[in-house]
Amino acid sequence: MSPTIDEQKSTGRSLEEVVVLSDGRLGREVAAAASFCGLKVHIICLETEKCDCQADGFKADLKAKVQRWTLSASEAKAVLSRISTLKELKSLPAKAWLVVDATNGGLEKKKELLRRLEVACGADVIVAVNPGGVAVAKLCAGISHPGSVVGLRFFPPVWDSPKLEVIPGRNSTPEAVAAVSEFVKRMGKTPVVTPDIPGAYSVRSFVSLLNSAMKTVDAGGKICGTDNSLRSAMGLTSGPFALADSIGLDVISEWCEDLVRESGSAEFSAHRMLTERVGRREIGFECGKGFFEYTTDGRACCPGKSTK
Amino acid sequence: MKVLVVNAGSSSIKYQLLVPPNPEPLCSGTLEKIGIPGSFLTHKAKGEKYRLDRDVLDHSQGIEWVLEVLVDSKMGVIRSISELDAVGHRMVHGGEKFYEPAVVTPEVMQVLIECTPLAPLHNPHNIKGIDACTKLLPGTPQAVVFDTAFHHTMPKYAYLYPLPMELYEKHRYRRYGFHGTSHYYVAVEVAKKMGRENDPNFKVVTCHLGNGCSVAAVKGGKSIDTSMGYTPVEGLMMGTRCGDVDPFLFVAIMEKYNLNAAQLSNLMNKFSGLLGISGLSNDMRTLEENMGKHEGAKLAIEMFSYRVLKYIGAYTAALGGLDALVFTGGIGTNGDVIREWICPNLSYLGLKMDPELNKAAMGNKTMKISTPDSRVEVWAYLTNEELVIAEQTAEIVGSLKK
Repeated sequence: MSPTIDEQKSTGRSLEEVVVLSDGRLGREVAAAASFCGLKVHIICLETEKCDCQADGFKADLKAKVQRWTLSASEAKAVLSRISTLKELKSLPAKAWLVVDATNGGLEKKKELLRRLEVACGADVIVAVNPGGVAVAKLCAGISHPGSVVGLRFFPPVWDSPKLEVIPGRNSTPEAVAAVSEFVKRMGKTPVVTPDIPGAYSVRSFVSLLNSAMKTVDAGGKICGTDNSLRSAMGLTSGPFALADSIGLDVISEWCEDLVRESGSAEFSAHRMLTERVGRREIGFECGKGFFEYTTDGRACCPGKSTK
Repeated sequence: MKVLVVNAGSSSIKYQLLVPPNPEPLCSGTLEKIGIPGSFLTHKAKGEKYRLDRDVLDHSQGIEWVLEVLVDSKMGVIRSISELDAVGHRMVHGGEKFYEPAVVTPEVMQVLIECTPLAPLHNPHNIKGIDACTKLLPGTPQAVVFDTAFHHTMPKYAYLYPLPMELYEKHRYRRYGFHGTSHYYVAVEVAKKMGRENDPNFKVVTCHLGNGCSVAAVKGGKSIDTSMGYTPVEGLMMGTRCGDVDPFLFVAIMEKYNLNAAQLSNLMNKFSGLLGISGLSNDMRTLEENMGKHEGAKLAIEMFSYRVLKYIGAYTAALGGLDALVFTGGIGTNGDVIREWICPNLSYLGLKMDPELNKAAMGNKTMKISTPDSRVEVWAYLTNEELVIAEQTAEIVGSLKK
């Protein structure tokens, strides 16, 4: 049994303070979005070589948001003031009892992460794990307290997304699900409880859509044309190629691998257009080139064109 | 009657303890950063100022702290909270449900909650303030006073937007107007000063110019039009809000920059107005200090003043003449530069501002700044919304006891 939110409050712990695990841009985005809503955030970089969780990393992200009117300059300062960096995960800060995994990665990486968390934090902590293309129940195999683990999908763009998928695993306790749902609400978003199937709703559907879009290009279509058509036809804010660049093609490649293994369906196999780009490390927005090319101020250009 | 006036925002609570009709509060203060590390309270009483620090997690804890301070042996002004006769809450939006102040009952609370979609940024926090007082002061009557209420006398042809009627009928999309308590106060007070408080033809344009700005046309003590609309974004150029802009421009900007609704809302509310034009500050004082050396500051002041001038002209036409022009709010009472820009452009009305008096009306003063032979009196007038809330609360709670 996990303690209820009220029981945690009685011990001085609060959902107003959370730990966010990061391995790059996604982690910073989640930390900043939570801080923007007034939460105190402790961020931990799990892969320091590709992860800037110090103030400079946030400053660049927040500056871009201020430039695009997502938040004001004073709000950006307030966001920074509520984020602190932890060097390593030995124990939780006194008031926190929710660890939010905002890293990417496949089955083995996540299993290892959950094992480490259990050693560091014990059974008392609730873990919201970003499950990629794997079922939450499978990620929890081999840990002693699977009841404390609940899936929480951060599908970009996290900041703007009004809903987040909360995915209870087979053993997740109602208290843990309630705590994670409460965290989502505290972030000003609506929790959508989804069944524990690999990739849940969003990752499965997105990979299928992206694969179809790549096949359309294979058949003679253009990347820009496909994106624009799908945007207008389906009322999407981003086309699948632009969204893929924003998520990171390496991340999607991992999702494909997970989904094929977990579902047994070749429908999710990574398309050549994806694997070739990942092979060349053209992994999307973050490196300046993916399906699109990006100018230094973040504008997307169609492949082969210098301006859009 | 001792009335605690509460203005609860998203992360702040402003309060005053008043004994109406005395305009001087027994004490006043602001609690800031509720739910955010580093919350603090500033309190003024008996000529002293205090700053206190304590973590405050929610509005309930905030009100609890305010009550503690009120009865504190050193900083306090009452011996026991039982001395509080009533609590008056500022409520931003009353929709079409509330035209008058209301005593808080479970039924009224239900309607207030139903009004939340009309002011999602303000009403929920006002409600939190009421909930906290209900919990901590269970026997003390409470009343709500609405920012929108004063404007309920606008005729239908003034408050409707020329959109398909279905939108009004189904969703009550219309002009509501804000700053009503302030417009009411200065309009009534100036009418009294001019001995015309009972004159149904007394025509006054009130300009509430603070970080948020609005103009109202008031005839015989009743609002007949106001510049803010369904939300406070419409109307004048403000500190960071844009005011009137061709609405279709927003469609074009959304498409050009692929913006979502939240970004567009921020663009209109937080990045525009004086800040957006000057690129320097949303604070008129900073702009005035820099207007001689900063093009953006000069342009922002000109645009701001020009837009106020246009509304004064429009509302003079709507009123069919003008007896008094009132400037209130932080910029209104201290903004000699903008008054100096605006008033000479109204000389066709026989309005004559005295430049010396205009300069003298600095530092939050109430005074007439027109010449004795001016056909329109011009006033810089300090507003007192808290006093109105206290008076109206005392009146409605008093009538309850009779």
